[in-house]
Amino acid sequence: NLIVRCDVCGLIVIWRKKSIESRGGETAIRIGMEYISETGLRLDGRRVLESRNIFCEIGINPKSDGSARFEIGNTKCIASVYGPREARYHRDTIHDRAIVKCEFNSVHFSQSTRTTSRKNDRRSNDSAEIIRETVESVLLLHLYPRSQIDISVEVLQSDGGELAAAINCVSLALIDSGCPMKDFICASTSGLIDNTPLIDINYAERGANGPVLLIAALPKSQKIITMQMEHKLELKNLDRCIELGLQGVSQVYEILQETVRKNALQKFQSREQLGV
Amino acid sequence: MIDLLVFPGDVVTTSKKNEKTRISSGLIQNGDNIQSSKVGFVRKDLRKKCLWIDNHQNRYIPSVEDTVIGVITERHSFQYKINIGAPRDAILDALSFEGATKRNKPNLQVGDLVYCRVVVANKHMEPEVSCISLHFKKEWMTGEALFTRLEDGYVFECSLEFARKLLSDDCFILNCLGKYIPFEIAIGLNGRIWVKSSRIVLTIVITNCLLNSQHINNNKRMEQMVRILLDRV
Repeated sequence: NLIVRCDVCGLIVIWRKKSIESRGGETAIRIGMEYISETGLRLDGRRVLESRNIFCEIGINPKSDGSARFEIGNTKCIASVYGPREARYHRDTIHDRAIVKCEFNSVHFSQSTRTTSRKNDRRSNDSAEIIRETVESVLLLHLYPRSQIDISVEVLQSDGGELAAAINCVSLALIDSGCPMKDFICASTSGLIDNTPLIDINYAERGANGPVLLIAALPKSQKIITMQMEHKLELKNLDRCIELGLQGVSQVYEILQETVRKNALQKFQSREQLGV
Repeated sequence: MIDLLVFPGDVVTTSKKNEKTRISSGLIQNGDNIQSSKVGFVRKDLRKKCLWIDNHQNRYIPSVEDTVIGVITERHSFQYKINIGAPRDAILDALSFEGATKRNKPNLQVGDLVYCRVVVANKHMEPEVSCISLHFKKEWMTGEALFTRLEDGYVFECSLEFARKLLSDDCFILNCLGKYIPFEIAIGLNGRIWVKSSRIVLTIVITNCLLNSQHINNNKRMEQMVRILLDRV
């Protein structure tokens, strides 16, 4: 085994022998970075079915109608919701429901090297579209015709799973704003490295170039709203990845639910029974 | 299920045969179930006899018979456009003041504050407000009408559930403040509160006391806080 410091993430990793190939009289030993140790630990010490530590906070932006902060491991993001309010452009409005406008932005210092990409680049727009479609299927938009709901997400620190973190953050912000919803929206990533399915892929594990599947689902009914993947995945592995993604969703839901509950009890603890 | 904390999607109750359940904000019907669509406490309104969700919210959704504080944004010949913090601006008819005629009606300017009552509120139409009260029949000229322009004073915004709390019968902070300072207050269910007292400094003290009382749940401590802020004046 070789012990080296990884160029990408700075972690000390183990490269172990993966296979020996013989071709045309020459023997080559193929080595690869060890993402999952023999004892079942990943690079950051997690087990295969564990998400990273989650921390979230509600009501951080006093100017907005609803806001939240969500951190999973080293990935941090904040979201603000404004609405339902008067639409900016009347030509955009729909006569029988509200429209949702979403902005997704990574700040320039979110990754290890400073990025100078413009705000409206293709990746951000794609992510914003995914968030918008996810949210539109959960909000009860028919209650507010000809109105607009604005959602703004900023990724402050990027360590893998930004879109999943953004969806969780938006879900909390929508709950804080009091927009009627069918259920929480929880999202998680799952992936496949060395034929082992994993929950919650971080940036270092993304370097393994295995498939990473994003799943956003309604936690109570386990109904999937959104799935996204940019890699190739064999069909026989898909079921297992989806199952793990839903497990990740349940893990996130536990924390979100606890935070929302504590927040609501704190806000209402000084109320006596109204008896109105 | 009353006074229980519910999440979106939680079933609050199921509709029973031969029994009508009225549901209000925050509850939706899904087949036979009545589900919550917000995070909050289930309450029963004894006056309107309906179930509703008491949640934390900043954005006001208009409902008929609510009393709100609005800001005039536009003046037209027969009506005013008034901002009540709702998804759409409301309309205040120029003649909807007690005793108003075409020759004799109040002259409101853009930026004026009006304490008024929501008359029309549904998702399809623009909300409408009116300054005619059903119970207090004082003419607008006397200046003693219930719903009228609010002059002087100071207005600030708060969350909707705080405004509801101030309007409840057992609101401690208003009674406590009233012991020390004479003041006038108008509470809009759209999360706007207007305060007026004899001196600006006292108005500021009242505002700060109200904002602090959102986070204090002990009556004794609330009274202490009021005294501390008053001692500085």
